[in-house]
Amino acid sequence: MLDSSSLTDSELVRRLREGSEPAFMAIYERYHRMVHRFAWQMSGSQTIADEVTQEVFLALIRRPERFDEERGALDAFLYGIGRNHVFKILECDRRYVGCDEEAELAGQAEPVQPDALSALLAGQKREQLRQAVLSLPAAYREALVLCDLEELSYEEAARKIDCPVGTVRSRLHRARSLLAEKLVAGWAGKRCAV
Amino acid sequence: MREQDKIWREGLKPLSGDAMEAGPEVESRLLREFRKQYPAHKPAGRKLWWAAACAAMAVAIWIGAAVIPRAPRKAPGAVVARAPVVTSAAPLPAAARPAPTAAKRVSKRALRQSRRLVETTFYPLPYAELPVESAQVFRVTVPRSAMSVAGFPVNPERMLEPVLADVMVGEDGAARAIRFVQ
Repeated sequence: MLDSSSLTDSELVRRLREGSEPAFMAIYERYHRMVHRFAWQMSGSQTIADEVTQEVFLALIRRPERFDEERGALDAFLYGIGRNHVFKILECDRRYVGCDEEAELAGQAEPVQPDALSALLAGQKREQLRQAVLSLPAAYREALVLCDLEELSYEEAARKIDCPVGTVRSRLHRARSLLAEKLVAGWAGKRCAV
Repeated sequence: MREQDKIWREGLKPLSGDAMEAGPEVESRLLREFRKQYPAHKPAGRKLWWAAACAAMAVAIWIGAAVIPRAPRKAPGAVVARAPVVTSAAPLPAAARPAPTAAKRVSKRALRQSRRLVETTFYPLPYAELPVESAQVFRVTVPRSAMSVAGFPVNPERMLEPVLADVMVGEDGAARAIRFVQ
């Protein structure tokens, strides 16, 4: 029985390449929740989340040599594959908001007062919140999922998205502003086309 | 952390606990794909270990066959021993005294005689095809390290010391099982 807890990701991937099933299962056990959770929060669909999780680990099985530890950690590698699948499935272009445009949009956003914000969020039903988050443009939603739901730091989120920290900040800022607007307007209906 | 961050995280907390796990069918599909991708997959450490043990065994058999004079082929009256059916590590009746190439019928007398020595049961070798219909038993000397194949504890300092062993070889010449003799 493989004691995976003492093995590094690189060691597990090395063993996986040699055909070790326990090594693969250890990697799956370590990271499938992360991938699944992200896909689920981005899509709101269990089916899509399952599909994305499957595709991510299939990619690892079929092409394990694509993981290069010198280029980044295994979780970032798996996250990257998962992210591509999510955006592909949602038919979103994650670069549809350019950096300049983001800065401009961020500049226009009106900050919500902390007290009002707390009351606004507390007054929402979970499903309303969920639908409002899912209605955000994908690039903004991703920043919100990583920073506010996954509670990553801006730096960690930037590494995962592979973009500057400033971009994460501006996307998050814009995501929150849009979300607040939707919640204020009592939006709880259908998801907007992204 | 900024106050805004705290408020948002707190406000969106109900959503962060929502996520479910991937279904068991995802894991099953992945395992199927993995086994398809790596059909001969075996744990790397075990694979190396078995390879080393089998190599030691093959050398020992080869040495044993080279040292012991060959009996004439198909000598009149010579009968290939009908090996008992081995399905697991169940004890087998002891084979004839050390007469490696000359096959003999296993008689009750030979069995009793062989019991003067202390023998372990036969242990099937890894990935050996069992049961066998007919087999020959060779008494050979193998390094003590080969005993760990059967799960015996071996002092690392005595790994290279020779020990007596009976190797059961099938009709196709492949070793199937081994027992150790003291």
